[in-house]
Amino acid sequence: MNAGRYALHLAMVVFFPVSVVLLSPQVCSADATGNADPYSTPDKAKAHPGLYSASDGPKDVMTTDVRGTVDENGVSSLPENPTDRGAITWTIRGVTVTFEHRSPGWGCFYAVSGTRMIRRDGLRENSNKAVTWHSAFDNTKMPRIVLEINTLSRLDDYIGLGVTWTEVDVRLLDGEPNLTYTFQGLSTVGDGQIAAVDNDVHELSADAPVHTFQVTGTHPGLIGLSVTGTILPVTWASGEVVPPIALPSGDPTVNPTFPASAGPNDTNEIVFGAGDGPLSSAMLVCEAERVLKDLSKLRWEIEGDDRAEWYMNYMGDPRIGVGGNNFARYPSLPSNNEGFGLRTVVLTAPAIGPGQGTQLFELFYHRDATNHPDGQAGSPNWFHYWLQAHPDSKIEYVYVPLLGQLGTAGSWNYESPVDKQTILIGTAHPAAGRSYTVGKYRSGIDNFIATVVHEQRHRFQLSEFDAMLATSGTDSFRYGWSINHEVHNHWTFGPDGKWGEAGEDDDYNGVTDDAVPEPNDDWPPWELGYGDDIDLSHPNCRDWPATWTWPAEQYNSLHPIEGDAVQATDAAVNEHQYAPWDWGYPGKNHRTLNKWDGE
Amino acid sequence: MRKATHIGQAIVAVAILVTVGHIQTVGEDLKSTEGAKGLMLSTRDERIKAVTALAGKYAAIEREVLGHLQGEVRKGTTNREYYSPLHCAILTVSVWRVVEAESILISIVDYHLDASSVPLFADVVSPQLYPAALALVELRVDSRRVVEAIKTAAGPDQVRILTWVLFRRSAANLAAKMLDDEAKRSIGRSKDNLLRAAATIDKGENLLQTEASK
Repeated sequence: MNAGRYALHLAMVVFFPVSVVLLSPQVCSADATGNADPYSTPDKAKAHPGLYSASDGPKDVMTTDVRGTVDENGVSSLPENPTDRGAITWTIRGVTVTFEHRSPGWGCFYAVSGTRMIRRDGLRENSNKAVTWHSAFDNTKMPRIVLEINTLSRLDDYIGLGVTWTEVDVRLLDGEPNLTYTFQGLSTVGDGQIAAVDNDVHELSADAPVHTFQVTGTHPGLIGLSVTGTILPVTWASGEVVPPIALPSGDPTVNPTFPASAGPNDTNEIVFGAGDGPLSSAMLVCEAERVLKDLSKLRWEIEGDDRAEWYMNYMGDPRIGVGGNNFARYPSLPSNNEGFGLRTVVLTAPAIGPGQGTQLFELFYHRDATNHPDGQAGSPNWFHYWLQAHPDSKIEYVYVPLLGQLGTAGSWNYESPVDKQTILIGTAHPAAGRSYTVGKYRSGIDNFIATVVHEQRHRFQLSEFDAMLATSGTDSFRYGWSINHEVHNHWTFGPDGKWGEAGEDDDYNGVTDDAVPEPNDDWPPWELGYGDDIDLSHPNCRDWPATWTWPAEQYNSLHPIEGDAVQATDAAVNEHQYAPWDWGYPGKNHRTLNKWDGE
Repeated sequence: MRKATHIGQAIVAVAILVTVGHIQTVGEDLKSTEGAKGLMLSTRDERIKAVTALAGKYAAIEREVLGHLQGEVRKGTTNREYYSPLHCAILTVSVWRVVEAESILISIVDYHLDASSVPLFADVVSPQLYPAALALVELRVDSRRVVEAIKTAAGPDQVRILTWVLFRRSAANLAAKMLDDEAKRSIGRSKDNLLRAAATIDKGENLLQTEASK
């Protein structure tokens, strides 16, 4: 949708000037009196030297059709949004007129009004028949306005035979109390059939924002206005010197300033593609509410992020975009989770003045795709990026329908070592629920981190359990604390400092006081447990050390090894604790805050 | 058929192998996708053959795992051990996305596992202890089908678990409306079940919590 909107705007910017020319009857047709429009040909400059300089070509002339009766009795013609101001409005009473405007220099002015279109050389008129403008390039230059009076229709105040008149109001816009414009005379042009009555200088200020002048004559014609004064830096919106940003728009899901106002929207949540190569890119469509003729005057940058490449860039620097409509492309997924999340796109107009417009947007990855650039190949993106919120040096994703498991620790045996280090994460993630039904409820990334913490606790448990058993490297303790074995090895010496009865070959293997495991470890295993040997096991559970605290009552229904792990995890991880790290789609920052699955 | 049987057994065995230390790694899994390379062969006939082979392979496995599930359900649901044959059959139809298994899964939706039978050093969350219900969610069962199942549910536990499935398959507010609307058109036990579901669906994930575990 954004791309389509962008294309539409691009087309409008490109084609609008052409359409205006074609649609405006004042450009190509004779005026209301039947006179040929003198501005419709290059000869116009010759015909009206007072309005044109040698540097001004006809193509710089704008003609806007504003025919229609306007505000017969009033002069109120403020733009719809006074703060979204230009400079001056012109209100024409009771006449049908055509505004013409030209810039004293090449494209020095853009006229703007409300949200309507911008002409090729910048003139624009609004529905209130007011012309506003701003200086986009050089705020010391002023526009010259040409009014084409088509009809002199105010006959109620007779001036003289064959002479009729009309009035034109020049009004300072609200919201510009500190601006002063001075009008230097109303120069007659053409053949003298029309004349402005007032040639004085008029200053418009907040106290006297309107000046009305009369135009008299025997035939419709043209009058020109020179406007001098100082145009302040263009103010597009209150407090800003650049146009507001139309796209991206809306509150991001995670709004650090106004968390309560954060909500779902589809205009500023950008998701990287789920494919590989170019199909993994992300596109940020940007659009200013108004565009300028000179694309280089508006600059786009993404704060603190130089990975985005702007389609139209400034002087070959892909990090700086130009123009009112543009898009930034992130070519591929970042390696790090920090490459996602909240970003700020900044719009500036350095040639116009200081200030900037900003808009937040968010970057996401497809949660279940596997196109992260490094890490474990084939693992899903959530595994790669969520893990960075709680790193572990020995962890692996496996295509097995399990949540988590510590290596092969559950398969402990006397004959071969087991893996007590590798945390295995399976396809049961992303998930939600309570660990063993007794733990805290957690979902998505928090559930994943909880699983990692759970397995890390198991790793810690076994490390501690193993440390209780001193081993020679070849004895029954070589693989650590036995698990799930009726004949366990949870023993230490008694006061005699010997295994079994001191000086006795308790297991009849020909070696006295040894702890060497037998091929058949069921019975009799060895000398352990005889004599004054001390059993390290908890009286209520063989595989739980007596010195370890029994898990709290809430976890009593579980094996203490699991109960302890669930308890430790509950103490360490809460629901949504890690949500700020989740930039998956779906995920806890996409669309709906803290919703782990779905939208 | 015999070959398919072996494949099905192998798939079911994957989960079981976890407990004995033979985890299938990502790398090993990727090797098994070599059959898909035929899709990129140069001639159309070769590609058709590759598609046909893969489709046939899937169909065979689908039939096999579905049959396996049917067989285990016939034996009963009393074995509540984690990685029991029935549990593994459920896991497999879920992994292979056997949509035809939905009816069977609905019939045993309240089948739950004994948490104490989970292998040591593993971690599970509550939905995993209701494997048939979780499989329905993973198969993306149609919400309307769940509502129909609620109408004919045999008891409060089935209603509760089916309500959880409905919660996971649709937004709670939409699900509640669906249940209310259906209740207006229903009578007797169906109506009671639907009203019970509508009244509890806002409990969300807590629906899987039994009184004992709260």
